[in-house]
Amino acid sequence: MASTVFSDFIVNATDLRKNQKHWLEKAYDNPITITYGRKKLAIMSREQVGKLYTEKYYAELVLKACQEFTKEKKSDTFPWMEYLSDDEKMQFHSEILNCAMKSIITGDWTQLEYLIQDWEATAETERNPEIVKMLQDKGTPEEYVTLK
Amino acid sequence: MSPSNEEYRIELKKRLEKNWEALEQETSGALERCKKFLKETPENRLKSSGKLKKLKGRFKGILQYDVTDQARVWYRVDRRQRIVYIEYIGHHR
Repeated sequence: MASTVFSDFIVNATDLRKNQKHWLEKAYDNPITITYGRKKLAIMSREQVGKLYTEKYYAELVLKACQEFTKEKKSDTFPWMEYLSDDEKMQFHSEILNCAMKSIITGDWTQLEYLIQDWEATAETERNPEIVKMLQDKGTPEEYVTLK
Repeated sequence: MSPSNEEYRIELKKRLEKNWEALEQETSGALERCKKFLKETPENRLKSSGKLKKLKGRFKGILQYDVTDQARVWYRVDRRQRIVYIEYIGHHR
């Protein structure tokens, strides 16, 4: 006996064979489970599978990073974090959690990807004292020339 | 041309002129693309092909454009005046 997952339909292999078109159409909108003896298989849209894999990838990434953060150990997930100050690490931690929560609700993980890229670029910058010095030195208008 | 479509003026720190010229020699096409991006849409990630980063923490307000794998341009944007100020040009080691 198969139990339902994601409110799916449960169909045996014979029913599937008899009403292929019907069940394949249904599977595009909602996953269906095919029982084949003791085995259970699922049919669902490729987009839905992609979405599940993406969610799993980012959820694991964020959880691993948070675990490392709470244990105060050097991050294997984001090794560049070592160049961030303690305050920046706290800020990154808080932002990544908030962003992941929003992404779970919206299903859009682009903002989380941007956030990670932005923090990595920040860490790369922090790593180089010469760049840090130049970025902190805001010039007066006379110190600039218009680029042609 | 409406104000929102006006190109941005690019202002470069005088002491960076040589760095800019050197990077121009080194990367030619890539730096030209960077210049076009800064003039037209300096804050638009979607048009940057993944080359735009918005720095965080104490560098909030500074943007980074990846000219090549190693070469970067750091800048800030004055939206009201439509000016891009290039603060540093260099390589990540």
